[in-house]
Amino acid sequence: LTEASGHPASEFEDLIHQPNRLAIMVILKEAKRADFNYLKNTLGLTDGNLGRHLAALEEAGYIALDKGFEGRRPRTWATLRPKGAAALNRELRAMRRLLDRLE
Amino acid sequence: MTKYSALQSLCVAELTWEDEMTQLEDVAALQRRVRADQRARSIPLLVIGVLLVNYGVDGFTSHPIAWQYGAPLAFVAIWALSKLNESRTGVGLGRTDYLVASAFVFMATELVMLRPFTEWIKSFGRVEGLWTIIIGVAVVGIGAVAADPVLVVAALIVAAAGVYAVIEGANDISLLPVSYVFQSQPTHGAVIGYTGAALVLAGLWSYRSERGLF
Repeated sequence: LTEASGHPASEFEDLIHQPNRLAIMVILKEAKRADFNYLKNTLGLTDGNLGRHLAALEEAGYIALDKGFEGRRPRTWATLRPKGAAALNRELRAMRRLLDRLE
Repeated sequence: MTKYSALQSLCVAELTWEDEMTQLEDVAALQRRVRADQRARSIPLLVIGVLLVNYGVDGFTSHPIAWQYGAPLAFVAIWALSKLNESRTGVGLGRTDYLVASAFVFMATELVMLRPFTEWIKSFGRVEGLWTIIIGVAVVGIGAVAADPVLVVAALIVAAAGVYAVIEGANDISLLPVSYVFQSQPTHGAVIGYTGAALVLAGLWSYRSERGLF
């Protein structure tokens, strides 16, 4: 991952190349928004683990978290922000470019 | 251990072609999973299919919901069902905006009824055809935004049925724009109905696949 600049791998962003965070971003891009339980069940993560990933992505400004209630049930919705969508596109592009080189 | 272990395997590991390939495949698998949970293909196919069967079989003139409003309401129904699904499963509606599609269908249908168009249309059979084409175009838009080739193909079939109805319906008795008491040609009405039935079957098949995925 430390090859000279210009190599696709050098374009990977650590924050979202982490597989679980990348998966969260992919889901949010496809769904526009998803709730905490959906992400947890789809990715097979624990509450604490998912919470840490979401907090990291929120801190980077990649996603927005909307915490509220539906009836008496607390519900947290995550939404992909434009900055996050751009970062995800860059990441996927870099992955495809790398794949082209490896082929 | 997550269901997407290949994604996790790349944390600090040395990159290989297989790893990257698997990671991209996992991304595609996740996209398919989300779309299946959204019922992104089955809901539009089923609703539009029922709409076409409804007007194709029952006729455009005797229906309790005027045909101009039936199609926009169908797109609102798709949106409502998707919102219901969102509340139940926790996965959002996705990129497609069914309310925009509803507004497009409503405006395009109203446009068809304006005087310059009705002078060319002359028969209600053509109106039925244009109505079907408008629905097809709206579904093409939905399929394109969702990058769903099955929806796009289904929409093109709907539009083709509309073109057939425009051609076949040209001989229909002209009563426009004086009255809406029209008698449509049974042939093109049946074609619209059969197209709707095909969409319903495709929708049911899609629903089964979506439930069976993962």
